[in-house]
Amino acid sequence: MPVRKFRSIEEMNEAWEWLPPGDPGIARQIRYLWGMVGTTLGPYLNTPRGVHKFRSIEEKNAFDDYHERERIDRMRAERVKK
Amino acid sequence: MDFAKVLALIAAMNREVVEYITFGALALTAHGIVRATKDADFFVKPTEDNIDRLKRAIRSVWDDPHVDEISAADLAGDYPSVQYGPPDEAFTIDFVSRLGTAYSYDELPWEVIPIDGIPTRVVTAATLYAMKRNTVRPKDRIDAEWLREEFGFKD
Repeated sequence: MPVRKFRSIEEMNEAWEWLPPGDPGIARQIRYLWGMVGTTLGPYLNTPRGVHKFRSIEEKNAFDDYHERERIDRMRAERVKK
Repeated sequence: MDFAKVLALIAAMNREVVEYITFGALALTAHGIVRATKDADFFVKPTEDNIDRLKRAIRSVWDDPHVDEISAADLAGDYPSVQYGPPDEAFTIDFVSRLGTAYSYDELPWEVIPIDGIPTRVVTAATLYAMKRNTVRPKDRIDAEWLREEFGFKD
């Protein structure tokens, strides 16, 4: 079924089916999706190296959010320059 | 995120008999709901033996002196969340012993789901839903909604 046609985005969303747990297709989907993220964000991915320790999940989330914000700001700043 | 390296770590943890449970986006994916992520999340049992096995598993994938900084004393004590960023990788790995007072390694139900043929200890979908539905982060609430729709969970 290489081509499927829908009358609306809602109809397309309703037709979406997740793969069952353990399905070999899941690994293919992950490789594609994560590969796409790596290709798109490659130069901007600023995940910190080494070991970082947190007293709570909130502290850890704040650390992650800081780096996400920094990445987005850097990407936007470079777009503005162009 | 290099999925092959994450799989290599899971295989190494299996080989070293590490007591771990995958949660977060990787667990969501193992349950069939594929979404991008920049980290891999694992609950780990915070005992000296288990963390020694975990460090052997990590070192078999990345030859990195920073691995020595991971300790059972931290995970069992003041630092229940430890993030590791392997060298030359664009992702991080979170090792967690407990989440607040609600979740800890010993109380988490898990099942084995193969990911690309590698048996992986994954938190159950119902527990993942419970973990995500009451959080304040939008991305977690979206994950919870996907789980609710796919697995028919009731609030």
